[in-house]
Amino acid sequence: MTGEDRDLGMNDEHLDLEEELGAYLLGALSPEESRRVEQMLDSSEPAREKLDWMKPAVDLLAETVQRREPAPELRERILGEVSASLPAKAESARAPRERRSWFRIGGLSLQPAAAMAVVVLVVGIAFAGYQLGTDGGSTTYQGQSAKLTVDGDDGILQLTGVANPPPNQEYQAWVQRGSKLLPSSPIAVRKNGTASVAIPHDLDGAEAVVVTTEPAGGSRTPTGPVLTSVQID
Amino acid sequence: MPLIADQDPVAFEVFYDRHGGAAYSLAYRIVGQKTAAEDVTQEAFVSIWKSGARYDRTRGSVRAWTLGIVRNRAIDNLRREQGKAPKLTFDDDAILESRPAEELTEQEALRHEQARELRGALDELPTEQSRVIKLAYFGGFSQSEIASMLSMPLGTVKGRMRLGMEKIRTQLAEGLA
Repeated sequence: MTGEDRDLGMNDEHLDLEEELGAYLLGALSPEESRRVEQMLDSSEPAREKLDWMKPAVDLLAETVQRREPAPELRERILGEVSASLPAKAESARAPRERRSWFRIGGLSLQPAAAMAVVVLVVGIAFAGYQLGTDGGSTTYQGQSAKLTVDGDDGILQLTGVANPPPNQEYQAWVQRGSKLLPSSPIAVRKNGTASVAIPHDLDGAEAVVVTTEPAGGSRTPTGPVLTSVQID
Repeated sequence: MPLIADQDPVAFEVFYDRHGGAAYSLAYRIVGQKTAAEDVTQEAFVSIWKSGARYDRTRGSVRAWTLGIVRNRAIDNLRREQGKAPKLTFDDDAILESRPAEELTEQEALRHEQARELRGALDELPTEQSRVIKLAYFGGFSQSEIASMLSMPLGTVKGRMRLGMEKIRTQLAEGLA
């Protein structure tokens, strides 16, 4: 134990437990050992920092395995179980008011940059896109580097020529109603600069679909700059 | 994730499409059987849906959180159904990425590269170090169980696991620099 360790209040047991952090993350400790490590982590910032440092290696172990594609039937079973768990009224024919419970409406407070983005968007909305046409019940709207196909109340947003978001950030879609932007789906960009995402919300009466840059994991209110938008009219 | 917590089925569909392949691959690696891997994957994703996707961003990425749930369920399945036969014969060096590289998103490409770095780091470890790490992570064995299986002192297992993990973490950091 070095003098610095003593200065930090570490004792032999603490250092022994720190050496077990890798095993702790692997789940290889006994219940009693795990409990002692957790007690140490509760009281030691250096130990928590070391745990954070070690964690990516354990997380990535899961990605080192041979990649196998699951059968399409597995996807259907999982999504079928999800669908079956939904209340009946959520799947019934939609009146816009019934879908409202899926939206975060009211009380939205836009950060200044996002609020300004919405003002700019509303002002520029006339130049943001146009309707491409209607085909078999669906309607397609064109924006800058973006295309929205609306079928019934839902839509598919497609982006082209899109740069990847900055590290620890992601693109997120929003449905614009008046001055409000209602959160929709996160968007993953392919290496070739394209992206496709479902916009599951009721688009009937919506004015546009907007894409902004948000922190990884998404946001409940827009915080970042507008990437693109598609006017619906 | 907030959308999944709000029981948005289409958001969940995107979530499955993003992580289902990796989840199934990990489940298969651990349980070693197609049917069991599918059951594990299904149980994991349905539990995420039904629990409202209680993801805490401070604990790491969505991906790591999801795969952690899959791993735990796979190990439970292993213990329950198969008596925890050690999986020491898998060739994890075979990379059978079925999707062309140009179809990978930037995040997927980064993960792929990091996984390759980690795989390389594991390969460079002495066999006795990588073995104890793989037994723990993919087999769900405790250090005591590993010591018993390999007929070596517990302290030796602890030392090898610690050294191995620190080496691969250091090498991973150097690879990302």
